[in-house]
Amino acid sequence: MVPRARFVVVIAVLAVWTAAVVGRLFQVQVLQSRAWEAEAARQQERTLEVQEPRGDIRTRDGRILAGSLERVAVWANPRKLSRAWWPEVADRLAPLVSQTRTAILAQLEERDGFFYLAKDLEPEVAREVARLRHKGVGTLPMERRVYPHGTLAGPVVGFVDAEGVGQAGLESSYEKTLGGAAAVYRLFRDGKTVPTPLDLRLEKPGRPGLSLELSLDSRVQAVVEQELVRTLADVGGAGASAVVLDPRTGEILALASLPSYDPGHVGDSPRRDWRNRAVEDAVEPGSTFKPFIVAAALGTGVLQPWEIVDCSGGGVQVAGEFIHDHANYGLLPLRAVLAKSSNAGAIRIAHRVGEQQLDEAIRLFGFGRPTGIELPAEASGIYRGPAGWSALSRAGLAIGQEVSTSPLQLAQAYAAIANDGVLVKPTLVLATVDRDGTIVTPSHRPPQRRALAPEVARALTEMLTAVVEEGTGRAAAVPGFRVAGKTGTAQKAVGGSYAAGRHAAWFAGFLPVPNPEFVIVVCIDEPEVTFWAADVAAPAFGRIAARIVTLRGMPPQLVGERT
Amino acid sequence: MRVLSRLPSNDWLERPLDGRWRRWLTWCCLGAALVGVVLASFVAPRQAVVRMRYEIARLHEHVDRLERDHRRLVLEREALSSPALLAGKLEDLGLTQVGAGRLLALGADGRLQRPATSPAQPRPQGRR
Repeated sequence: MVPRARFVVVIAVLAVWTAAVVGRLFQVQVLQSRAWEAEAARQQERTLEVQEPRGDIRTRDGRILAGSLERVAVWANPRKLSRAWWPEVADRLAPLVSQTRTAILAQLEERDGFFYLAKDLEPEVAREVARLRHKGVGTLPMERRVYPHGTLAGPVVGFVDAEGVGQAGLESSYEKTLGGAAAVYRLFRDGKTVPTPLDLRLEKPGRPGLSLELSLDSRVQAVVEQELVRTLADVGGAGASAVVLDPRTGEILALASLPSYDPGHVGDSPRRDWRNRAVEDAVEPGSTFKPFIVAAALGTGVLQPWEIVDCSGGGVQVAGEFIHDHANYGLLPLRAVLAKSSNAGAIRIAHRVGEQQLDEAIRLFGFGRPTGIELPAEASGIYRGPAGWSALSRAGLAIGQEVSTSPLQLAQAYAAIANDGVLVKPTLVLATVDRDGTIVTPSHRPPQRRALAPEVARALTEMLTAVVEEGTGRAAAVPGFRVAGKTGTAQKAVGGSYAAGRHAAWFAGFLPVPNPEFVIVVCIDEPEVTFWAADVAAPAFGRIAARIVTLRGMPPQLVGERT
Repeated sequence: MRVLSRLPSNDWLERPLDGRWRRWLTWCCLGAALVGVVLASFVAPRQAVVRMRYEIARLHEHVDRLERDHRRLVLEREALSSPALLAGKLEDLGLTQVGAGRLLALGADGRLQRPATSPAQPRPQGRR
């Protein structure tokens, strides 16, 4: 081959090679650029989510019911840790994680990849672990949720799981608010897949969790829980619940449910105790429902407050069934019908009200619908309208049967009577607050609606004071204060029929009269020693009310002898 | 560099070598001084910044630790002063609850008055 021809061949080969390289470059850099960029990012980049601190749950008096502490977890990955280093790593980690050298070595031997060696350690441990400078050992930030008041308002506060996610109570219903948003970092790994901290880039800033300021008063809550514990100790029972709320604003001052649990040690309590009976359980209200029948009759004008009601016969015959009364009361003034809790009187009153009017009146008090409180799993209670009624239904309703209500729903309804007929939605969360104490979401005035006319509410209130002053609710009296309320003893329905020996004892009331500041509902589930509400729930109400007015330093309305 | 030995016939060499060498050395020293001055003027303030940053980081860490301790102590105080806990330890503390009926009120006339108790009629049994 002559030199010139050889030169041409070499040039041609080089040209082809260059064209091939340029073509490939064009393919990689232009045509497939996005795919390769994505692949590079997948290999080099890694996102890291750093959880922001969870918000507190505080009472209205500034008590921290739930708070968080910064902690760290120590992890290890035997696949990234040379076996030669294991003894030294175990020696240095042992005092930091409070484990023996042998235990650490055993775990490194057993595990095949990433695992937590220890959790919930002091944050200072992170610096000590970083000094080890081993790729296979490190720390991750974590939080420990702390419930300093133990069982106080446990079912209201709820609890978080091991990952710090709310599972019950306010911790669950306000998960997004309390948990905030994790900060997202993007970090780059070098050729050995080791993260290079200098290339850490904040992709999405985090948002610390907001704190909740509750309407609960820690002292009132403690009083209510103590008195329920005492009541259960005195009379026995499967459980107890109570609600204390301000009828003017709907703010819940105490919401107690027993048996309770410590949210910090939730595993120590059986799962059945995790529910909030005051919100999640609906049972028949018994005679505490009678005032709403009377309210319907007074509101529709078929009954006047001064009327005499026939309570004779020791009961009343309805649709072939004889419904017994506690005694043959004869003729009673209307206030005495409630004071003596006459079944016959209440049933005769119910039958004077039209079905639709009775239905409307009951619905206006919120029965059969959840109140909308900021807690999960609220019971709506059972209330069937006239379409589902039988010939016995109005009589049943008159004595608090064929309807079920949670203590919270009953408190809401009694608050309407106490609040001159205006029904206010119960509320538990006053505001959400950021870390600096700035209110982010102020409390909004809960929606209100009129449930009964003011004059009817006042007449009813007077009748309910008679229950406490001369009727079945005498044990609920508070020295120095006028109290209005009603007892209710309900048989519990099990499997479609009333179970013998299983009762719910209720007392619902408010004080002081006039201008009530507290509505209190107490429900004792299946009391054992005695089941009458007058002996079980009314005394509990009285003790709770007396301690609350003392706590609040309220001057007595009724004064006796001077010293 | 000094020429330590030479032939007498090479005397002419000493003078030019020593002269160039001294000049070169002088320039080197001047250059080194210049670099030294430039570096000192550049590094010194930055060293102060670095030192300050280190100090700030150390103080931040200290503040973080104090805040963590404060937070822990606040939560511990909460637990120790819980109303429920205190109410359960009234007897240990030598205290007692005051019943509503035993609480006296100061009247407008400046005299203490006792709350009136409600009517004490016997309650009929077996009421709903």
